[in-house]
Amino acid sequence: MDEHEWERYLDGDSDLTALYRASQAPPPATPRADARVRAAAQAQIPAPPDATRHPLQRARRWWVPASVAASLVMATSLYLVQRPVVLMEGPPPPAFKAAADRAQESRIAPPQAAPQTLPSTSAMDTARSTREPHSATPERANAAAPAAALKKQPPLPQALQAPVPRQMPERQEQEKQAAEAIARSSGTASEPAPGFGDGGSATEDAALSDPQQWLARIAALAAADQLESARGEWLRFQQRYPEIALPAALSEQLGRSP
Amino acid sequence: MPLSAARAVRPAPIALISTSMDAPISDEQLMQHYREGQYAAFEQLYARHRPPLLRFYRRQTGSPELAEELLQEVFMRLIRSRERYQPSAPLRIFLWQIARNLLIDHYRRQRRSLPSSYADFDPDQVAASERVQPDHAAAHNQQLERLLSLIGELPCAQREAFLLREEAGLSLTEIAQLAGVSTDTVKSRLRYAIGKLRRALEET
Repeated sequence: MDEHEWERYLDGDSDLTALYRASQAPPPATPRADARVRAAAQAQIPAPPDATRHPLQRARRWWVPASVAASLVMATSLYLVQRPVVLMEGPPPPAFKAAADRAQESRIAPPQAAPQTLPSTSAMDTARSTREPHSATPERANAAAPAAALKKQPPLPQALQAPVPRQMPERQEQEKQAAEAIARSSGTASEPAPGFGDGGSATEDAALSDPQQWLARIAALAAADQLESARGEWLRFQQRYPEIALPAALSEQLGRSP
Repeated sequence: MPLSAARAVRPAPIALISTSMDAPISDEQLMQHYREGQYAAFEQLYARHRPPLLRFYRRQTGSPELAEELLQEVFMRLIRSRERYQPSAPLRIFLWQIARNLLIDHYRRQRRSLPSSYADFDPDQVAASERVQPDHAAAHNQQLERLLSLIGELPCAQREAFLLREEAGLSLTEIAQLAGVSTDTVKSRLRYAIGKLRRALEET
């Protein structure tokens, strides 16, 4: 082999190279090796988090709990704002008393005069006392208690006396009947919930006004295997807070749907 | 196709697909992309290097099954060593070094020692089983068959130099670096190989 041929070979311009390149047909398929190599190559690549999800799907993951939480907060806030709470056990200050008297006078007005205002606090309170029998002590649970509590209440803020279009007259009627039934009763509220002591106390009242505390108490009853009591409490809770669903774990314990 | 299913298939990055108008993306860049998690880069590397490696092994071993096994192992080792790979080193050398080492390992397993032809140029030291039979599926031309047959009859080291030159496209210096010998030695092996092939082809 002379130098000229050698140089041509190194330049890739030799007949031998051309002939050999003609033999460089695509090699036969190697499916087994291909599959193994590709699988190994892919296995080495760490999957990015949520790579298979569409960005909108990823975003929806936090939308859902956020919107549920926001709705819950709003519903609870609305309920707490609309629900008058008896904050004072003793007689109100004179200024409050005068305001309460004025409010009472305005509430005595017939329903036709203000058909689209909030339900009267007396009806709400009497109905509440029906649903919260254990929230009052036996002494307080006599027929005069709702009226006495009513007199102690400060007037509703003006903003809360705005028209409420969806107020149902049937419900008002039911609440009124419940109040009358209590007034006719022997002066005792329905028996306190088992496990809650002999009667209501300020602490229990606070617990029952807080749905979370109430649920915790129901859960405690269920955990103590007092399932019947817990179910009864749950029924009362449902009447009081119909918008709140029973937590899944608790519903399993009680054998009820949330 | 559902959106989630469409997203499940990792799309090939467009940047990795070079058109005929662009310069092909280098092996080193592809390996770097693969290291960064782009599987498509590995696919390109595999498509680029699988054919010459498979031909190299088929012509070095004469066994399609063994060639496939060795080919698979080359890429397995490349995958395993991707973190250790330094982009400054040419990937082609890196890959063919693995390929050569595997072949030598195979010889060691088979014969418990390296073929003598890797140490010297004695063609009689090459076992008949190592000699490559013509790849009838690849070429039907008689001259081509003759060439391949002649390549198979070359001593291992000469055949290796020839195949690394023709299949891998390595320079003499690169072959020397890969084989751990001097450039002059590679030049000698290659000149011997080409001379033998030319003479044999002219005789037929």
